[in-house]
Amino acid sequence: MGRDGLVWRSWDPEQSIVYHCDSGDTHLVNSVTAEVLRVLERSPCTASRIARTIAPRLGVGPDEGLARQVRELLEHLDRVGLAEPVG
Amino acid sequence: MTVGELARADARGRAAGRGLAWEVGPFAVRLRTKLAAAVDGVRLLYADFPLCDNGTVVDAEFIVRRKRFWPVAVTLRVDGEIQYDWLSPRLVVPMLEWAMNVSVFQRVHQYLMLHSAVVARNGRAAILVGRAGSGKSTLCAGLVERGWRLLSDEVALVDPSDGRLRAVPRPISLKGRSIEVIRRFAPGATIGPSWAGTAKGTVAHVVPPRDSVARSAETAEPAWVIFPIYADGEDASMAPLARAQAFVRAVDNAFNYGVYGRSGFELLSAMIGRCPCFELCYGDLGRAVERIERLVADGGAV
Repeated sequence: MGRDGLVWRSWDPEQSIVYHCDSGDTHLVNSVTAEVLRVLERSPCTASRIARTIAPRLGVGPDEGLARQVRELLEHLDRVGLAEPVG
Repeated sequence: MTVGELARADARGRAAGRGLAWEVGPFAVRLRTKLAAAVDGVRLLYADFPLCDNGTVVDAEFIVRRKRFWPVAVTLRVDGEIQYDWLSPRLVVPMLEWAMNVSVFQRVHQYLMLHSAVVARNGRAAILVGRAGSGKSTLCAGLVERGWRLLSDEVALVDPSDGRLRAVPRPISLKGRSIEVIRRFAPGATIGPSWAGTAKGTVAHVVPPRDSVARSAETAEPAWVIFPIYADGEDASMAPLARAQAFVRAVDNAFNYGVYGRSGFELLSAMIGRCPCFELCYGDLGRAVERIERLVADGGAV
């Protein structure tokens, strides 16, 4: 998955506001979604690798359960236009 | 010269001819009509507003005419386009006010616009964000009664060049029970006639304080963002609102956020970032006003 053109505002660690330059849409995202999007900002990435990257920051183990949640989140981000499958 | 200083016959004569034009904050509007009730209504509600010089280019022109083959009804046009048709002449004053709202909200994109009332004290503004029924206009009228300067009862105009708020201190529109609430809370306020039978029920308008009109050119710094929620029977309670939540609610109440694109995001997030944000649930106007006054006195903390 990959994405680009995001402008961020965060006033507390739990929620962030994201402006997507391509669509002009504004999104309210929680801390987990923000972590996922930050990973994708750097480069396209698989759900498993995203899970392994964000697990330490979330204080959880990088297990299949987290990877599944990340996959579901990526599908949601695709639907709302914040991410898209690549390759 | 102001609208109110113009003799009634002269005002009617202007409106029937080349038009009665006056300044409303940063805008200029013109009314053309032979309907005396419309002119008289404008003379009351806009008494302290400056007349425009001949030849002033106006931002909106309102034409009210009786229908040719059904003269008991009138048509209200904005810049030539029919805004309201088959209108009862009795309701032309409140409909004119709504037509002004529409003409502002749909075109003044030189400002980022939020559906909100705005009042200020010592140059610092409280932005009361919310749609119809939120209680923002009633709260606005209550704060004005307590000496706050009126910048607007309907729309916050955020200047993109500096993030400050421009004033457009038009009459404060009240609906239903709020009319009597304000009559009791502000017995010294000048409130126009009540108009029953509009699409929003009975409405009336508080004439803007002369001082607020005189200071129309003064901008104000956004200082507090408050989301009022009117709840019948409630007292008044104010709670901090997370800025991210306040931001999305402000976007939801922004007329032209989409027009501004990224700069709208930057402008609005800068404002939200600077201002403490709150939700105010109230049923008692006096207590709500006290709550806001205490907020200001305590330096913005709840």
